Amino acid sequence: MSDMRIGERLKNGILIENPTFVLMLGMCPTLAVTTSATNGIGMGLSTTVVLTLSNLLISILRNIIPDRVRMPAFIVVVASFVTMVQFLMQGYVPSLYESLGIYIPLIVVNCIILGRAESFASKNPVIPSTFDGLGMGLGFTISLTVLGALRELLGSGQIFKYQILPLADAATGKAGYTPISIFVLAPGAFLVLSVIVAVMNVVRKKMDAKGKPLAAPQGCLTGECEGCAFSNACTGKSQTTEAKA
Amino acid sequence: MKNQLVKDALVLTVITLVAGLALGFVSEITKEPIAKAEAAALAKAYQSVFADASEFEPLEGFDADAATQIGLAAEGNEGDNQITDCQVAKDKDGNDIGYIITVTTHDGYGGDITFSMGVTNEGVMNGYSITSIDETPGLGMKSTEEAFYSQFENIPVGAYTVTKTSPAGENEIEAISGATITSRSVTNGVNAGMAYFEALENAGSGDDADASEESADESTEEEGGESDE
Repeated sequence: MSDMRIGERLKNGILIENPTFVLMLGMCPTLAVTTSATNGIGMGLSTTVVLTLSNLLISILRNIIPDRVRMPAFIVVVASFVTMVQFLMQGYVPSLYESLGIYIPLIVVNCIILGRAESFASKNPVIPSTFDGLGMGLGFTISLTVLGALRELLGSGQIFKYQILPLADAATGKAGYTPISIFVLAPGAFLVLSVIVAVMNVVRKKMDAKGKPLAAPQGCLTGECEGCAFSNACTGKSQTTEAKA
Repeated sequence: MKNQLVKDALVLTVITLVAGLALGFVSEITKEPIAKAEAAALAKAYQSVFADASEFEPLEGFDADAATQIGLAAEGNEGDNQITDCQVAKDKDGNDIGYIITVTTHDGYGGDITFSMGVTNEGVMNGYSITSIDETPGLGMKSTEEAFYSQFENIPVGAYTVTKTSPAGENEIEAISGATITSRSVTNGVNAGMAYFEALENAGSGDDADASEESADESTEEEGGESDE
């Protein structure tokens, strides 16, 4: 029984409720750090660690934390884990710390982490919560790596710093790939993400037809606030949603 | 109701306290590895810009503020930068063979860029090594690649300018295509470091009149080149 639950949570995080491409959560770090596949995987894995640990702890404490102060309590837990990850990374993987440096503190306010704490870990037992965190984290990691790899490939002809496309050399007249630098800049993040989301919409339709629908998007990008975990407390809801309510 | 409030506050306090303790503990056990990693990164940077040296010692009486002022007043330095550290490079017999000057420039495209440059006592710059940078990958990040930094290797101390075409004069550095801001800020930083090196040399020995005259010549040339732009 519990085995099935674990597998289901992992599949849920990676595919059915993939945080980036399906739920549309955590867009800011997604767009900011995915300039290369290495950065994507680094950010994804550090978020996974924080997400798994925070889901575990919040699930343990779910009956102790009073409902009215749950948000500050969640933030304290998440922020502590983030700071620990930061210290450890700085000490043991300085090169990764160097490239992710300023984005690590951003994990604290990553809506995936708070969203999972609020909508899953605070209502479910420890084991499913932990694996929910792990699944969600891996889903996030895969998404960021794919996004990073595509941007790196188009922007510099490399994947994981390994030259995939031979570069053109004007001096020697050698034919080859001319990197499109815009893809490693901010606009490139939006371009690549929009194409991936378009592809995901095709997948979504196919899954709907098969009778195995993907989850509805949750982030603010969709303008649809009903599915959002923060819908009750949010003050910036779209007008259509408010009218319905 | 009142009890509920007290209970909420207590629980939150306990959670915060435990989190604080845990953080303190992790900070304590990672302090040493972090210091080690930083020292290793610095040592590697020093060694890469001064391969001949076997030992580095902090310069005695180094005053970062005074050094920064010298750097800012330097010929060809139009940027906002600071000289943050200076080390004396020694060979294996303990003789002084040059200086490692660490410069932080504040006008990189993505924030501060910190690099260490090695200058020998003969007034030749060995090159620089960037220890902290947050420029755009594929553009400003190319300042960490050989095509750009090799332009600063084995060049005489002087004032350098950035050109967008292929360098015509000896004191011109070819900008990274699409990353003129990064190229300028690094070059300005190098100029600051070089001016500080000259100040050190002049302070160290009185017979450097030739050297400073030479650099004065170079800087006039420099100004001519600049007005062309």
